[in-house]
Amino acid sequence: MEWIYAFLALGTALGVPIAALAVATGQGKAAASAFESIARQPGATGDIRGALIITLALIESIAIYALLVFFMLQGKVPAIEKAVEALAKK
Amino acid sequence: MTGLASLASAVVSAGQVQAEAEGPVAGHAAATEHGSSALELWHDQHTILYPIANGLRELFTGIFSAVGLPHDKAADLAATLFQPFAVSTWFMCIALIVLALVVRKRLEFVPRKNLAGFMELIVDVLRDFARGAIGPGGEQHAPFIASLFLFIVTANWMGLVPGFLSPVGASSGDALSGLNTTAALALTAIVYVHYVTIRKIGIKTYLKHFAGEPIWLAPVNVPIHIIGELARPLSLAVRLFGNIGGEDKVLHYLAILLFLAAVPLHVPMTIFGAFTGVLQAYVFTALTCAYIAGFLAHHDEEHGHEAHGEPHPVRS
Repeated sequence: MEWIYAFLALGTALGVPIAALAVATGQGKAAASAFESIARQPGATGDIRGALIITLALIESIAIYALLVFFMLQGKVPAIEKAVEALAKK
Repeated sequence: MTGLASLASAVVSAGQVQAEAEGPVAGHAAATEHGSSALELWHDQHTILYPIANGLRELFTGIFSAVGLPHDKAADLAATLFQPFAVSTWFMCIALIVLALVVRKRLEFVPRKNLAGFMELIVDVLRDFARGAIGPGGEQHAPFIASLFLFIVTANWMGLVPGFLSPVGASSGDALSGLNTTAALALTAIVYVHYVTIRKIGIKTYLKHFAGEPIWLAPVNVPIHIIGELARPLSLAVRLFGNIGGEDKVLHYLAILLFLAAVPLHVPMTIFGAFTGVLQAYVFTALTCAYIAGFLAHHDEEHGHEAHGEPHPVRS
């Protein structure tokens, strides 16, 4: 019966890092292509910079959704003291 | 708006469970262990803003008791009206309005290097930004865009100053309360976008925009477009809250990490937080402008002009 809390805690901890992996990969590709196009056409740096910033924020928001799920699950995970008490009582 | 409704219910339930589950944090006193009534949110808050808000709350408890309510109901009503995030937002709005009124008296035809000149610079930058992001008709939206930007920048920065609470951040009492303020901001922006669109291009073109290009694909396109439109305020709200709330929580834990050794570990994060505050306000405002431009570009294609503003309407 206590395993459900163990799995819940594990899932809470694993959500954001996995999203961070995907976000870092996507943002790296976006930034790489932005740098390449700036090098190819330095005159368009302003437009490219604006588009890059908005794109990075849009990709970042996916990790923020994972962070929101983390906040929601964190409230449901019981505190360590209560878990230690429950285990000691058994 | 099923997304927002379920999100709101998740916020409420998460807030209640959070208030029960979070224990005391070293160096700070968090919310108490029992229940989530509005009165308990006021316990153990030792910052600059809270004495002012506590004083207001006590004052209104006295007023409500004098009017005739029983004392505990009066206390509950005053605590619900003067919640921490609401008081922080009012403080910020009053500060911004006072700033605007003070600057208005000092405006001159040729700006000098004082506060009024600085605010004129900010207004110029924001108006150029609105015109660039929306297109030639963007100037009429510039007041709303500028207000949105200034509100969000001030709200983000208030979380960095010790003693104040950011209305879009996270507090130790209830983890997801900042989502209310960002949801309100996102709803305001989206209602403004749709209202301006309907006023400019008429309701028939607006509804045809949902039907999509081949008109016989309308039963497929309309739900997809509606879900996409509903995803926009949700993503705006969650993005702003997640970024600023996460950064506030990181600051909180960094500040108490070596509390006894008095090492200011949170100073680099504060500087980075100032940058991301401006960045998140810029992203929110730029996305609102992109949504306006997206609808208006559709209108120009209808009339045969060449599309202006952003070449590709952003669909997110």
